[in-house]
Amino acid sequence: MSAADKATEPTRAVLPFECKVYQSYIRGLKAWWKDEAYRAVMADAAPLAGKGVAALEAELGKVPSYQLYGWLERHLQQFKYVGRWGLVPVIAAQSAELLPILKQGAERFPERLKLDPNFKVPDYVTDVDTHQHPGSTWSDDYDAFVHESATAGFSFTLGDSEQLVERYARPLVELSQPRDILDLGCATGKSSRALKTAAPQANVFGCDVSAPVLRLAHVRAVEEGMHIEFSQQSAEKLNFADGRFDLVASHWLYHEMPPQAIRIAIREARRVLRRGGVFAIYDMCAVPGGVVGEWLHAGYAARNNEPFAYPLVNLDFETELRAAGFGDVKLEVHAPPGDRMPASRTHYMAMVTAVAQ
Amino acid sequence: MTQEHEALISALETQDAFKDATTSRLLGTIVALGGEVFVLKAQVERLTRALQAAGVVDAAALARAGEDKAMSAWIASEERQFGEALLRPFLQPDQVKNVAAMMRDNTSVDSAQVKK
Repeated sequence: MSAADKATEPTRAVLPFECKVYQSYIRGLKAWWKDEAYRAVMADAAPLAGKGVAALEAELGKVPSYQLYGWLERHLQQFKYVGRWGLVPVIAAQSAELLPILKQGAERFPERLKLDPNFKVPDYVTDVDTHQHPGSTWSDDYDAFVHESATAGFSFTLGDSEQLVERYARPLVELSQPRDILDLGCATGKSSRALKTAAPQANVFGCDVSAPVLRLAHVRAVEEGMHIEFSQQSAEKLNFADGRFDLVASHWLYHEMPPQAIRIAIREARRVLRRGGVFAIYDMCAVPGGVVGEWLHAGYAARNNEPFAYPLVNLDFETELRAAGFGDVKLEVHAPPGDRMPASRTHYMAMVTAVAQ
Repeated sequence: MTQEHEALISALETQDAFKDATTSRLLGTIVALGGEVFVLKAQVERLTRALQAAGVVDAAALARAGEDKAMSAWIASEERQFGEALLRPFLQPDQVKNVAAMMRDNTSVDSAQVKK
């Protein structure tokens, strides 16, 4: 890392005291939701576990525990984003200070940031206020800072950069021994930086459909003295030559894509991978808990504006990946085995890896 | 897509957890009010700490109090307790015995008529 690559000081949205306290309030309610309300729903759902997902929704839709659970899942996230001290109004009010950070950041090592003014963000992105974030990450430049703040404590991998390296990036690097890495759907570049940390000699490229988050990803990489190249591209149509990479990874991407787009993206990943290269998907590819788990996951997908998270769990990755030219497909689910549900509401992550044949 | 999945999605797309818009709106008001109260509580705590620490109230003292570790620890503790206090009444709305039946004449007070 050279001194010249270092930014002089951190450049983040500053959340005023009232906003931090308000977000703490929302976290407190969410904690109660994911523990107490969830357990009440599980108790009420247990006698109905033999029924199908539609029957569960119909019958528990009349029960206070699930009514409250569903309401909280939907509305607490909206308070987080657009409440009185929500992240969107607070950070939008700082646009005059924040947007120059992106503009000036783009002027440093401009060859490492390739934005396409003619790029059309896919409808499946623009039609969804993903995570209930109005405008999601693509509509305004300040949205990148909103996304960065909103996801800071979201999961072990997003909330703790060391964990992201150790539990996500390093195993992939050890598996693929890459010289060239592509991080699909990189957003603000946390996963790209983790991959670069785990493989400092490798060439790391990050791509996303959203220009605002790519601008911020570039700022953060330069701040940390990392040479990472970011570009505005869709996972379905990449501007890279055949066989360009040894590792094509994605961290929380595919649950935001409909199945037909995923199928195209899988084939595109195979195209840009060398023979023997590794394709990795870290996402909500499977849910535990049988019918109850599937039903709650469907509710989450509907209520949190992540509609494609539901069909994702019904996608047969083994078949899809083999049809696209991959072998040695492995799916590792980070969740309780069988029909057991976790003790509290959590995201059920899975790592899918496959080797290009 | 199966008929069952279609039925599930149709039910979910109403985004009406209570099947009653008034209840949903009322809870929205309560949670918003809770946000005001929570922020106010934090502001009072911050002011108290500033007064105790500096003896005078100024912006620097307020900012310092808001950022110190003890204040953060207080918030971390309070966020959980406050959330529980606010939401538990929904699942346990009536925590005392219902003795309305005892208003009837000639009613013997036995446990069968004292309902939770």
